[in-house]
Amino acid sequence: MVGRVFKAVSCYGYERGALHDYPVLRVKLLNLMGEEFPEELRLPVDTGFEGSIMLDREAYEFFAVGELPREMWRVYRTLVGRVPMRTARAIAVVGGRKLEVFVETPAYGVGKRLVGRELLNELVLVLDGPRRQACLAEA
Amino acid sequence: MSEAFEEAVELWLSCRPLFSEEDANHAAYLREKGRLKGLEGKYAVFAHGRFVGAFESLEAVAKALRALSPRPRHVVVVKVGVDRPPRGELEWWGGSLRL
Repeated sequence: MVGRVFKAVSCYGYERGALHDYPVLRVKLLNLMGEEFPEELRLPVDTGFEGSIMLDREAYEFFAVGELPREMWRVYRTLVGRVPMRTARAIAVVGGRKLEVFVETPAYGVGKRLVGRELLNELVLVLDGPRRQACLAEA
Repeated sequence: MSEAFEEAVELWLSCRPLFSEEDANHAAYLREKGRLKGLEGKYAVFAHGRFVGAFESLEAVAKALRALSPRPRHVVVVKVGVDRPPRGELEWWGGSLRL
């Protein structure tokens, strides 16, 4: 694996952080009615989040037409305790690929937007820190 | 502490006088889930408080949902035999939320 060459397909500039910039992934999301979420999503890459995509409550409502039964909602272990989530199915379009994903939002609270390992593990994503670019790549 | 808060909110939610569209769909799933055997691999759809059907693909689900009137604001969709209750808690290192 060492010395492997990756061909970048599309790159996204990092977003400004408080001290250090952070990588984002541009994702188009569709709900199960086939409707496209009206905003362009630039989701912070969070390898500490084991799920697929987390959204704020307001954005999640758009995907409530594909919600999983309550018994299948997930619970996350965090530094501040357990965070139960509502979970829905959606379609993500990333770098031209269509992927079936789960979107989640906290059952209680506002939530935030980010992309986690469940989706990241489907992609080849190169983090070019010095250039402040996250690039989808072909291996 | 978080579990106590969670229980308190669950209790509050269970006392709501109105039975929402969301509640009706989840109740429909609970009513019908025993009858989903034999539909493994299909997407079972519950909207307007009833079982709408089981579909082979998400394209077929979208077509069925668009045909509903009025347009549903909430739908329960389960991939039978594939979607399962989580086996445990997942991780979110450093996760924090604004309540």
